[in-house]
Amino acid sequence: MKKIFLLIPFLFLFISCEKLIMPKSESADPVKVFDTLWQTIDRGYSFFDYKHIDWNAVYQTYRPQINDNMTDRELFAKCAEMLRILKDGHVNLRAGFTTSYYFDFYLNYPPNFNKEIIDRNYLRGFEVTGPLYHSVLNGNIGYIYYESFARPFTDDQLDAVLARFNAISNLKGIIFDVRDNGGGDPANAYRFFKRIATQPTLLYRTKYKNGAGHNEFSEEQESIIEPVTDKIRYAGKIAVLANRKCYSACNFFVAGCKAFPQIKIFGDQTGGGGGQPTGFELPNSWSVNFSGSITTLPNGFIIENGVLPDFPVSLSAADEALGIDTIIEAAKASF
Amino acid sequence: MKKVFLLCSSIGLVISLMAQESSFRRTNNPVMRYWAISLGNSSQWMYDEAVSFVRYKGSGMAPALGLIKESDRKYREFFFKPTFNTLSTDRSNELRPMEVKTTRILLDYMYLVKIRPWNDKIKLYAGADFNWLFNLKRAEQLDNSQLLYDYSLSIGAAGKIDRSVRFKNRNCLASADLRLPLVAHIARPQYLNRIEFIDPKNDFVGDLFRNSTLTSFNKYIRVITGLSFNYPLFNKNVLKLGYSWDFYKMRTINSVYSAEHLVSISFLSNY
Repeated sequence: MKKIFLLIPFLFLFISCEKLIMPKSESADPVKVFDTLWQTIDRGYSFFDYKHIDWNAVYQTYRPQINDNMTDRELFAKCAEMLRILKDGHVNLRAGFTTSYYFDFYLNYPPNFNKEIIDRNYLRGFEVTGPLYHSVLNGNIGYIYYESFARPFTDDQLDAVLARFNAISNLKGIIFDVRDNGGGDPANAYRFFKRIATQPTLLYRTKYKNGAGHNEFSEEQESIIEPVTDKIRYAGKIAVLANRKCYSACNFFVAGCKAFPQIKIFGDQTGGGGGQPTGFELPNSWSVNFSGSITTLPNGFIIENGVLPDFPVSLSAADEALGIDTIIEAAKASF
Repeated sequence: MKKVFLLCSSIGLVISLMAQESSFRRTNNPVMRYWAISLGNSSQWMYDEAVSFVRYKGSGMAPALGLIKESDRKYREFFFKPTFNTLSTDRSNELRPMEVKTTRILLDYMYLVKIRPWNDKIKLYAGADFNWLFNLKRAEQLDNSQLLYDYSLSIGAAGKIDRSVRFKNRNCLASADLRLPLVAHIARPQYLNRIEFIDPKNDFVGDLFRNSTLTSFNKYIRVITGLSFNYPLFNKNVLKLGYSWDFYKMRTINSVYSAEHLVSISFLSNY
């Protein structure tokens, strides 16, 4: 009996060896890292069909260029080159010593924004409420500049701004300028939309990757804004200003604006970024971000490559030389 | 963290030993009840396919609170065990720290009945175990995919062997126990660990339960083993040294393997 009892702790120690049960860590050799990266994108990226990308062919092209004698920088360069084929600003490879980006969505287009002109001629004497810079143009037009959806504003801050504009008796409209806004948290857009929605409003539909196949997606989910009635609302006209650097959450914001008849979009097409970024870690400590969903407007338009303005306007060089923002002037004239 | 743990453990041990008496007091009450307060060191291993294909490990503090009730025929215990760990890998570096912070909350209720008197020194128990586990993990390097969780609510079989041991002129108790969940309600993150930020009505908790499933060994394998040594103190209080191993595998769209080694010292206050 004693022997049996003494055996029990040893039996437990034997059981308690998770190393026998858990899979071993994958190799961090360049070939394995490359394969994991390619496979992660293959299983998770959402826009292969939309962008007509043959990912298997990409593998056939790049895999022979990878070997286990490569340095980290050589491997990174090849991986980053492969990822640029996706033409997606939400795709980043992060290696610590550097990060790969795709910025062609705005670098290949005119900027249509000059912050100096805004600061000197449109925001002079501005008020700042949280991340919202605002001023009154011509005594009867509200102007808000919001530079990043990564800087959240609160309901109280929005109340303060809207109360300021609502107090102007002859207010013609509000210009909401999101040019050069690279995104952040879409919740800030929803906070604004709730103040102008008069009924539950469908902004867009989103389907998420839910399996490894290129066409494995969840059911489409509707993003619906419910109006708020217990906070300060705004019922007048709104002009939203956009450019190519308006990306990700900013792109979602401009896309959502399309659902409200009182909002008109001026400027350039947005830069895009219509997939929700998701991440995965590679065996050598690098990580990769990529789009894992597809969002469409109620009419079926996919917003990945940007949202078109209602009134395309470019910043003219002549106006710029005079300190005039052509796009703001077009928005002012529309009220 | 280790220093704090060692200091607290030492203080607890010294206080307990200084106050000890030479033997158990006999009681007429056949039911013994204890409050248990415990401090331990949790050493965790993780292989989570929703993070990467790399093993993570780390250790941290593991306090616990519990209630124990035992009679000649039954043994019941309830424990609340939160543990807080930061897991990493041997491939982590300053430029790319591979870290996963875990907050693991465990509620466990074990109900056992003495099944047969083996002999004067050995008692055998068998019964059921109810276990609720929520292991929230945060891997900041994954940005929008950084929040992960392992959730389970399970019912299973449990057993325990007690053996009386004479140690330092005291009647001590050495125990080994085993818990095997048979049926469980489990949940893991959705594919790509998505949280639906795009949805204005994003409901993280609601999504968690929508993504749950009732399952058994086919998707959820878990083994919890324990070894303990109870040393009697003054006034029917007990000092308990324990070691437990808790391993589970959840086979979902991204499988996870997790193991925890917990070494603890507990003070059982009789009431």
